[in-house]
Amino acid sequence: MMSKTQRKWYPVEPAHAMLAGLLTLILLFSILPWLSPVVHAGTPTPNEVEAVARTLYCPLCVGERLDACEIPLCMDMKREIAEQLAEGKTPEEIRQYFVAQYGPIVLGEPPRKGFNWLAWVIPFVALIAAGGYVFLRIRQWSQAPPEAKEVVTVEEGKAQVDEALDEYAKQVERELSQWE
Amino acid sequence: MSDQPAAQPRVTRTTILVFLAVLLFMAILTAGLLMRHKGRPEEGPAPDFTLQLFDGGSIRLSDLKGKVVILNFWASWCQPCKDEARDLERVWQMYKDKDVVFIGVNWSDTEAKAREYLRVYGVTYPNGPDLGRRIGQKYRIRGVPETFIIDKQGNVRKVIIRPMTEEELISYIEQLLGE
Repeated sequence: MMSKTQRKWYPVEPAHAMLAGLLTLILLFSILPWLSPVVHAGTPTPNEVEAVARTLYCPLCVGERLDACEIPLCMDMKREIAEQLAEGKTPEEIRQYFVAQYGPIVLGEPPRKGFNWLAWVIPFVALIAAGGYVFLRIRQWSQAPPEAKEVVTVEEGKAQVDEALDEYAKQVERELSQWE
Repeated sequence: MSDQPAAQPRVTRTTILVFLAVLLFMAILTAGLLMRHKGRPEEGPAPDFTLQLFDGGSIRLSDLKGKVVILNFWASWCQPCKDEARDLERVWQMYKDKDVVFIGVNWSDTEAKAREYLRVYGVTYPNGPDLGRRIGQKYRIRGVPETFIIDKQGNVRKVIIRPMTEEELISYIEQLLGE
């Protein structure tokens, strides 16, 4: 057997030491997600509460985000977010809790079912239809032959003006004679 | 001057199709909006629901046929609800051994605040949260408090959209118990 005094220390290659360190770091980062509830547990900061509140909407107001809402229910909801963060729940779990409590209205978008599908489909249909219409019109205009313009010579133009002036003078005379 | 008649506007097949599409869209939209804004059920069968209670268990409206049901929607942040809370509890204590059931539906609230409210106002009749606001949607409520008075046959007989007083609640219950 080898005594303590006789133990030999072999120098470690710097490259091996760096590799070992790197592997340790990778291992630590890979288990971090499992540790996250423990990391988040404790009193959440106002910023953490706001970050979750920013992704939710007041169930009583029209389109008002929770972080900007000051009505009593919103204040209670923000307190609830803080409590749930302190319990170690993830923002997604908290969002799902509020959906279960108040319905999908808290997500600020109509649920994708029934009549609400129209709200999702119509903008795209309208966009495609409008795009198609504009495309067809442009193609129609670009393919249409240029309109033949009526060519009038100077003499013909003068004759037309004279004719119109004669007609006008006759009308004036007719109307004046009615007053005499 | 040219005496040619003005060109008649042409009604093309595309115009007709676009017009029909717009008409169809408007019809669907109108039907949807009418369905959505049907209004509160002020008479006829009360929409059925199952309420999970704060104290555990659940209560289903259709199981309460043969009893007068006072269905009250409330929230802890609602001052008028607080104004009527003690009156509701007093009347419940008077009628709880008769064919009368009070149900409190906690609408758009947080559980902690709701439980505190029930404790502060000494509310003992069955109460539970309106999860997902599904019951509120069925009854088309617009706010709180709203109270639906349901007769022994399960029909809505009266909707009160303000705080109830002890006297009027007793009068409605007596009228329905006597039928």
